[in-house]
Amino acid sequence: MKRDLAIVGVLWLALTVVGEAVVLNASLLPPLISNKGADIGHAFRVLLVYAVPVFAFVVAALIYMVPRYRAGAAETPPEDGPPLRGRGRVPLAWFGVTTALAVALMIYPGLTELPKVLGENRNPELVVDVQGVQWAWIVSYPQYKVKSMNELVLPVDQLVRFELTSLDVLHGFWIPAFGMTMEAVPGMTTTVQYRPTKTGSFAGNPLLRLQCSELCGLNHSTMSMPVRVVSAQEFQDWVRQQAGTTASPISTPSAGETRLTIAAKDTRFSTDRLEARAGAPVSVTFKNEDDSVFHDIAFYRTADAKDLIAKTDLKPGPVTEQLGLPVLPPGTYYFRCDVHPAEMKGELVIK
Amino acid sequence: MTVHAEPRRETVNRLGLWLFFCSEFFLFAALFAARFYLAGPYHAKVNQPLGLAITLVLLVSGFTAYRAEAGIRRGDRSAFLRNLLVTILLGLVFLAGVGVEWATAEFAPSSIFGTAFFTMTGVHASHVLSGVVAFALAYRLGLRGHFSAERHWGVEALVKYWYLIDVVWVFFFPVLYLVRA
Amino acid sequence: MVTRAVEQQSHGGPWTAFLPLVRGLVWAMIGFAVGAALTAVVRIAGGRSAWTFGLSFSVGYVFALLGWLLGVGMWERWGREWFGRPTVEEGPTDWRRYLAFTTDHKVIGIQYLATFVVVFLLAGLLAMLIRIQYLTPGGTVLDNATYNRVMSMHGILMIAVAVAIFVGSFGNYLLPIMIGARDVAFPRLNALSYWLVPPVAILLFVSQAFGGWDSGWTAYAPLSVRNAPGQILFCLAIITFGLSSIVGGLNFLVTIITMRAHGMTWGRLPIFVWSIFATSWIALLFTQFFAAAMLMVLLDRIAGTSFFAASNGGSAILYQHVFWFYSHPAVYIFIMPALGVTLEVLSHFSRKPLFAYRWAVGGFLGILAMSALVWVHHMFVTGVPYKLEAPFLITTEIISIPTGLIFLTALGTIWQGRLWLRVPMLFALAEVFNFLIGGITGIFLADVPTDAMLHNSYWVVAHFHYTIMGGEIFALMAAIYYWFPKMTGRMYSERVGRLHFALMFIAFNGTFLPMFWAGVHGMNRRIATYVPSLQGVNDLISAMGFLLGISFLFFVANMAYSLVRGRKAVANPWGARTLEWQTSSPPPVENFLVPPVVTGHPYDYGVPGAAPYAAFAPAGGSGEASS
Repeated sequence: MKRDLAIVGVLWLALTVVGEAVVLNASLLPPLISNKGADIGHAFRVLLVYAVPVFAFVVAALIYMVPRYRAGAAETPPEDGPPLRGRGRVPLAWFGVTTALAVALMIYPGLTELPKVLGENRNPELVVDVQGVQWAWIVSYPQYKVKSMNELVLPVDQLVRFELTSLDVLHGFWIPAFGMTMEAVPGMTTTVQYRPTKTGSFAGNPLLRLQCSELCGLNHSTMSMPVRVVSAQEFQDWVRQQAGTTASPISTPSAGETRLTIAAKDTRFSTDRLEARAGAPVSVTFKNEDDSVFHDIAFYRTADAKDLIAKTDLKPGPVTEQLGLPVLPPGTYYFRCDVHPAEMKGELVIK
Repeated sequence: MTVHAEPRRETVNRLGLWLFFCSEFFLFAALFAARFYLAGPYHAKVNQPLGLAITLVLLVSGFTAYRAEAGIRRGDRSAFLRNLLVTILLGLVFLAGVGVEWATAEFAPSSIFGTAFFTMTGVHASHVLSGVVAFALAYRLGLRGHFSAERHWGVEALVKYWYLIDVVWVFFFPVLYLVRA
Repeated sequence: MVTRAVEQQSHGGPWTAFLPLVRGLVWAMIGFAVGAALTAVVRIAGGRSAWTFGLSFSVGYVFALLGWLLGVGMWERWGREWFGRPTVEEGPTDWRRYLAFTTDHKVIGIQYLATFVVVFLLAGLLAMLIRIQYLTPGGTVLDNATYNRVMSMHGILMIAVAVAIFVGSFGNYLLPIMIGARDVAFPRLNALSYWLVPPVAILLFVSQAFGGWDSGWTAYAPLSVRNAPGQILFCLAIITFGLSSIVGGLNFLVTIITMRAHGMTWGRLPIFVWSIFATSWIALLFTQFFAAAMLMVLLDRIAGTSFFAASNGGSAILYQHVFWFYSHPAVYIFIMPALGVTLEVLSHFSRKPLFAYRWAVGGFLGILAMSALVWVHHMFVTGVPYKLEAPFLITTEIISIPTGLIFLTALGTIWQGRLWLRVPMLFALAEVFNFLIGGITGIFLADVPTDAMLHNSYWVVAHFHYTIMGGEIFALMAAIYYWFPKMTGRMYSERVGRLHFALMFIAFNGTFLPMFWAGVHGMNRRIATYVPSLQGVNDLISAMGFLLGISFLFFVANMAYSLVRGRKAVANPWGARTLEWQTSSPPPVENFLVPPVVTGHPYDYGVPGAAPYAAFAPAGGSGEASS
């Protein structure tokens, strides 16, 4: 019996050493490029350090005991084994060790790291309001009066606080590269705060995307927005550019202009082609007829929806909005609903 | 508990009944907790006199239920039937009272207090209804001489169920009517 | 209760077996019409339209359910008593009894087993569909809407299997026999518990005609308040299923407490019975919260309440509290009977006493106690104040301690044993390994900081498949192979069983281990399409998943063939001591020809001079006292 114990002990030690070597040296996680991500990655590694000897113990015991004590697979059972009851010190020792492990774990990296990761206490340099709506994200920067539904741009090395809410059902605010997720809950504001530590973009790093992580219905899988982390200067440039292109809607139609009407119903526009005469301003009456569904209509110069001309505010139906477009040279322009760009899009032809 | 290979049927039935009550307690506890989570300790304007009246009706019906069971336990069929009938009638009065309360409520189910109020009183009332229906069946059986001093487990179980419903109301009524306005 | 025995005709064509089902459906339709009509009358009196889908369907369903139960046989066996009429004591005694309102717990156990194995395989086919979808990141097989419905259906069918298959099948079949009783405490209630299940299946499938539901099995509000009407049928199905679970738990508790054989003290109970005991408390008490959550969703939909409508002061977080207050303890319904069976098999197939038996019992009771105190760990990233999350981090860590005691017993039982590596033992050993991984990976979710990273990622999917499938389903396989000879009187094929085991074990780990990697590399769950960088790992998972599906073909083939052509089994092919092996295979209707008197302990292998576990009175005794 002593020999068996010794062999299991050696096996356990060997597996533990190998396991810890892997855990402490290999990069098991993708790079988490935020300060919180670093804390979380650290906690993850510590948990693995705890887990390795526990896993190795049971595995060492099993892989030794099964071949060592096997007694065939015959028709009749083998003879009985020794009547070990387990009434003495072994269970007590096991109980003691497992309790000590659980207590140690819950303190570190449990309770000690909990306030670091979820406790907000410092003033952020940047505040970003995020609204989840079926099925898109509306990101706005109140300090700069800028809104975006195409991409989330952040300056590196600045503490940013995200104020999250949902306009309809539960959504999950998850940027895998930064290592944390937080729910966006209708009727309340949840917050998550961290500092991105490296620049990058979705093109180079698929984890740099804002992905909805809480099942929210039909297009949950595609409720995603690319994230870009840029230098402070680039961020300021981008903010300035965004502010310049947000045209304010003109509410009253005036003479000599083309009046167009378009409606949204059942997540479809009533037409995918609008026409207007060149040389006159265009006034668009947009009727959102989808009860409590958010739609807008946004006009762009290019099909990739990067060059905004003007758009209405995003509102749930039923509601009617007026939008004024400036005088545009003849050509083809593009409109879409920013929240449902796949199903609701079309062309505006000026000739 | 001593080990019987053939336990007395009453022991088995009573244990089953009590376990059932434990389960029901959890259902009412869920609604109770939700009420406070949603609407805090406040209540909207409710019909206090009506609420008090139906509470008294229900408590009296608990007493008559007790008398009914005591009656059959000592073999007094007429006392049993009489009290059972009164219990049924009082139960119906209670349900009518809840109906009036619902019809004349000054708050809608869509309000947060209304959500709690209508759900709690509704789930409770559905239990009262099931008790009344079961009592009616028991009354019919009793008329045909089905129960006796030695064999009346059905009555005992239903009366205890009625007590459970009363006790739930004893908790529901204050938290819907008597807490802060 | 006035009764008379009624001769059940065994003549008449085989189609008469389906009469109870047909009559159940007919009476259900009548009930539905009655309920809908009542609703219409009340609505018209109030000046509204006669029919509105949510309310009319729900009220109609309540009456339909009653009609179904009475029609399928509850009327003759039970309902008549409420009207002072004599009830029928006996039902059909041939194979027709499996399609009738039969009160014999062994028949009910087989009804449950057959039903839920079929449900499991159907849900498994849905999983295969999901894995086909995941072969490409763009997901060209299913569109988003269909994917959500497939994923949701896969989820709820598997959850239903997880809740009911152990308790319903083996709990029902084995429990009375293992404690030396003739049946459960409330045999008619037991039949009711089973016959509540077909309406659940019908509702879930019919819901697809009303748009199905796309909120997963968790049906979070507010999505579940505003999605397709099929969600209403889902809510009604869950409430029905909850009723079945509550009633079943009640029955087992009373049976274990009051109907143990002479000499069967709590200290001599088989560990499987202890695990069912602990499980039954959860089923009895906590299921009401699942029903409450569903009721709240229904009321928000059909009565205009505002439980979850933020604009009126409602809260989506309330749903999660009510839902998880049941659904966390529910996972211990999944795993405790599984651990109980694993320990049984480990003892009998190591030919050793169950190591630290009392500590194992303490483990189950500790899990039961702690299970009520951990639910918020599903909500760590919903904006709950982090200081309120700390206690739940603590309780979730603590629950690992009683769970660890089960591992102590498992390893200690194997230690120095004589390991009889037949198929049940292989599955039991694999279960220990799989559940180890499942348990350890759960720690990463119990720890709030790491949970913040892993919540709703594929790590979670891998974790719960390791615990539920690796733990419960592997133990289910052990149980099926172990008790197959007892229940069918035949032996399964050992060779095909080993093939099944090998393929299933390798394919299972191959399928779900990579999911941990996918989770930390940015794959979230419940998605129809994913980012292209994850295609490699998903193709691997799908390939292994298909292998896993194929392994079940070996299982089905083994079962089907052995049922019909398997070698006849003896009463005690395993030489095991517990009571079910001291009676014939399959047991007689009354379980034991002579009631047993327990004189020893169930796991006293290798104990010199150990008393036999039970004695049977000499006159006409057919059971042999175990050695």
